[in-house]
Amino acid sequence: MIVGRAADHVAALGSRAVVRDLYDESGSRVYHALAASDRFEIRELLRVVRPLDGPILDLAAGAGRLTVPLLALARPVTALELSPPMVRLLEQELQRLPAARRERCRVVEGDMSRFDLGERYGAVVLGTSSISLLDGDGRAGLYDCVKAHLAPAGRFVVSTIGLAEQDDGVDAEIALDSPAAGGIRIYEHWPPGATARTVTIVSLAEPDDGGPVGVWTTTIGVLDPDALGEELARAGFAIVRRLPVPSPFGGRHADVVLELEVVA
Amino acid sequence: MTPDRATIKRHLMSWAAGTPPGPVSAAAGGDASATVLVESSEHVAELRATGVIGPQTVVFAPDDRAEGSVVYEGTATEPGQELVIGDFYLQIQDYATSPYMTVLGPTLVRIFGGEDFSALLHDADVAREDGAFADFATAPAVQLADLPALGLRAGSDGPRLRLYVDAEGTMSTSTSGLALGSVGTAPRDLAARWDELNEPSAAPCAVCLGDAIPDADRVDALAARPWLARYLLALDALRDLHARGIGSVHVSGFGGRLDERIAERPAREVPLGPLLLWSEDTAYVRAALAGRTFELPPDVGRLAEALLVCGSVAEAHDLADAGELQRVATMFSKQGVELVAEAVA
Repeated sequence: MIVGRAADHVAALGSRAVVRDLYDESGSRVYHALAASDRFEIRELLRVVRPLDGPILDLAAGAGRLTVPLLALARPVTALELSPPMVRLLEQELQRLPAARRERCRVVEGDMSRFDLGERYGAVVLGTSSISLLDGDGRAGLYDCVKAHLAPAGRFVVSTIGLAEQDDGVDAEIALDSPAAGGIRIYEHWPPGATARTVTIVSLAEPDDGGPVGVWTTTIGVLDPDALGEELARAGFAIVRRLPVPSPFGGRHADVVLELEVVA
Repeated sequence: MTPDRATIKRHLMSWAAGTPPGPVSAAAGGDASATVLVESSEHVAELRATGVIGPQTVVFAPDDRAEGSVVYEGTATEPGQELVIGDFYLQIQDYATSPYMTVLGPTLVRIFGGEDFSALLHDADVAREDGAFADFATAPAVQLADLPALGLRAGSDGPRLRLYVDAEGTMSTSTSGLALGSVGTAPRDLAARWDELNEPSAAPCAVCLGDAIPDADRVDALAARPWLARYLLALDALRDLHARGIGSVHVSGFGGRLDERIAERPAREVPLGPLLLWSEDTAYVRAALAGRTFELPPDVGRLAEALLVCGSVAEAHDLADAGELQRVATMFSKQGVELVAEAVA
């Protein structure tokens, strides 16, 4: 359901608005185009992963937003992704890389809440706040799998988003002109204290003939950094480092990357 | 006395890139190095005593125990870190991950190993073939490090230009360089060792990236790309234009020529000579080593390009009127920029 200011925009489009899920086939392309231009958190994730030894596991890899930079660290990367359209996009992205780098990547279509890859990793990465895609049971499964796949001294590196304390607005929007997605407006509807936020993307490319206008939306749970930290502690992880991450939504967000080690 | 801010930046970039600190030469005095970065201030006194540090040497040190040194925080040796001098932050990045990072401010992009070198060569090949240059490499805030090892030798690198002294006192021209000596080694011995290490290499400088990539690999890559120095100059030229807000610029010899008739001609450009660039309605001649850019109408740009590619007025006679070609050659010559190879020779 589209809510907040996004709803006003979509209403103004009337029957021209073609509303789809952000994670379906067409939405995947839009999401991928956006992700390609969003470099936030990559610096912080690489900073954490770089000094660690061993291969890297990139969970919820999507179309490779983090996989590709991780491959630049000259170590093997396993990319795990649930969505077949995203896997296809990831494989296309890998084809654009030099052979030596591409051949270091193993792509696995699978569920990050239950997987068995038969390998141990120096770093297991779950970026883009994708941990919020899982419910409580899913996260419990994720934590068990991560612990089973971490090498000794390995680290679990996870990002999540939070609302800055000083922000009490419900809606935020940003306009982007993405080289791949074109002009778009991104709406975020996130009431303070809510356990979910709704992201709606509206194409600003309105055909002259009054044709359809693309709209993609999704509602995803949010895991506040403090709440996530507590949950991870109960699951047997300890926070080694907490790095703040700049957000496209500016001071509205208090996003973080957590570096964790297994303690139990 | 601590140098002023402009001098500090100029010397820091010179130390990082391996190029002279601006039009004014090193002039550090005798055999002393123009710029030295130490990991430990404890070494400064002995470096002064041996003459490695002279009266004009700009010294970067991690604390203020050595009088007159420029104090820095952080490190220049690790990717993903930063070197901080006062309110000046220099990001240190490895080449391979740089395309995926937002350029936050002044950024030094280094070759730390084979992955970085391969990525640089890949980008250079794409630029040569298609005229497409990696965005990050042409961002005005970016500087590539250790250019002499990548083919851009302006005849000035070596211990008299720059030195890095690690925490144990080992000295090289670069943080990824082969050891030239240790604290206590005299300047002439450092220079001799630098010459000794370079002498057998088919493509010096073999020192400044000697610890990062095998010299055989580096030499092979440079031999396969005799235009690599011009690629580095092209990056510099694009950064200069981008800093002025000029985008959508093409570089002659990279993906094409302004004058398509020249496209198939064997290039006789002087390796470190001027470059011709063009946008939709303007041409530019960039004399990188002099740090100067000239703006031209496209028709004059074509004449300049003909001279650069053909090497002389005589060789370009079928492309344009000899008088016009000579006029353009003379115009630039009066500015201290030689467009014809025979003038340089």
